Amino acid sequence: MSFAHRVSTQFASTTTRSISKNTATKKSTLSSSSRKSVGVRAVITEPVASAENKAAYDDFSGMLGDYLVDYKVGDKIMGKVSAMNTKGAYVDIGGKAPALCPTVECSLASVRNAAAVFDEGQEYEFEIVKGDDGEGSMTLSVRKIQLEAAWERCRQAQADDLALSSEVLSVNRGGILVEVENLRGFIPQSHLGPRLALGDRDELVGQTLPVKFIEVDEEKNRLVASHRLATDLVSGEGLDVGDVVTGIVQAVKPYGAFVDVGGQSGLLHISQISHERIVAVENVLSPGDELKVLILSKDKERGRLSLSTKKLEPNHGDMLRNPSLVYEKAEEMGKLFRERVAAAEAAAEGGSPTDEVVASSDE
Amino acid sequence: MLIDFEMNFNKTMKEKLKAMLETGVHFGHQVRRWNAKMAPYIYEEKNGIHILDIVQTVDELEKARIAFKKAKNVVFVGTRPQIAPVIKNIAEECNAHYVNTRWVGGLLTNWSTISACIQNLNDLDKLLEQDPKTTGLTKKELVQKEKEMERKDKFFGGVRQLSSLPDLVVIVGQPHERNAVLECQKLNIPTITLLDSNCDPSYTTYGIPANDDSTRSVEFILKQLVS
Repeated sequence: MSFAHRVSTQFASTTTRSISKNTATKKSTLSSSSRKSVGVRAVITEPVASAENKAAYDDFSGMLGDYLVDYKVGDKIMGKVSAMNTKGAYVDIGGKAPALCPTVECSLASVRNAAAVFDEGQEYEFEIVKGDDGEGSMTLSVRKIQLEAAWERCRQAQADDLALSSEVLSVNRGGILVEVENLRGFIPQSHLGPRLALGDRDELVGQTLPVKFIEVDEEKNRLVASHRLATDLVSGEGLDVGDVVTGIVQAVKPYGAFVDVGGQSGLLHISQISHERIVAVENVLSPGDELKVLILSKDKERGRLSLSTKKLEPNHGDMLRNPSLVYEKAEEMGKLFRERVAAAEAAAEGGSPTDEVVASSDE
Repeated sequence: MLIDFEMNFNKTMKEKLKAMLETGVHFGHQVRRWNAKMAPYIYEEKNGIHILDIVQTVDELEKARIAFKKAKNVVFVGTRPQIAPVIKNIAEECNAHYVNTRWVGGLLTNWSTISACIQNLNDLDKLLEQDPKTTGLTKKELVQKEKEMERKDKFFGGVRQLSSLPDLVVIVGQPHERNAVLECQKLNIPTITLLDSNCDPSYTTYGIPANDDSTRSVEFILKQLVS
């Protein structure tokens, strides 16, 4: 072979480095072999090939292209897990050295060690987080991929109006924190289902609730969900404007009362309770009261109902003085209300010519 | 399985090259981390890393194999956590000695002391095999002996049977095993080394240009060496 080899082929011969006076003894001193500086700067040249080798080199260069890898940060690749230890999992991605997927990056949910998530010898998808650190090993992550996938699922669920299952993490003043798809989300107090709001909130921790998404914003890391929307099977159907329904007062606020009607929560505003002026709502209503209310309007998107008992009063002020009378007459008054509304609409339609034009141009 | 690839038996050069490429033997370090003396063994530079010339590897491996066959006392040295298990397995398979945790300074140059340590370890082994009652030691003393044995086993476990200086030392990861390399130089013990692009070929007798960072690559080369 015509290559510059610095090795000798004799088995028991000394190496080129040691210069000893007496080669017979085993223990020859290593001369102060200060590194001889390489006189000529070493350059990599094309190997001088003899005839038989040429074929080998042709094969080599031909096949080499298939086995080179050039990975950059941000690439998603498949890799085989070869070993696992406390630091994480070592993954073979076809490069110089196996890459490391640290334990924290092994999964979106927090795991104690990599073995919980990976099986040795299996292939998984990874994303490259850090590039070649000089020794050929890179840092990988599965968490990033899962994070993106989780947000995508939430966006899909919001678009399709799907309900997903979530676990309650903790309770705070404004509402409750839940974990859905391994992401942290928030359910405002007003969006909790009727059965929950009255009960002891602290007992909720650890329970599973179905939720629908109101806001999914990955950049701002905001995930707002609603339990109420998920549990309202009817979602406002069956309850039309003008219906008189029985409801139970859930909460009393300075501006009105929240009343649960047929699974949905509606606001009975202080101004809509009675024709007479009411100083404080709590004087009139308290949580747990049962009463009949009229549905004034529905906001389906936000899932809100506007309620009224004012319209049900046969005489002004009856709600305060004689609530039972109001309840008895409720159905009648409701009917009257609906007739009035219908008449008003008919008048509006039959009235101005422009309305007619608009009405006829619409299909 | 690629690991069972038999280099020697009727394989064409192309097949051999392919097998090596598959296991990643050709990868070198980044260009800036090379040792200029490796220039003859480097094929080219691609994507900022050096590619080793594995056509030469085939020949060098053959020479090393012949040397290995002739040797009687061989010690495998490789202490990096990734390749430690590989070293142990290969050595145990061919009844050779190995060092896969820290290379104790003076293992060869201070042989007289070290051989006493190894003897001590063997004695401890025998002692702990006995029925505890016959040893004449208290429970506490026995526990102490056990701890001693464990510690010695950690460093000398692979060289328990080594009774004299080795004839040949196989080193994987030359920059990391500096102590081992220098001791062999001092004592003129021939060595086989897996040369990565940052190694020094002048410190070894039989240098095999190969990737020493990947478990697969090391396992492949060593398997060929001992077969």
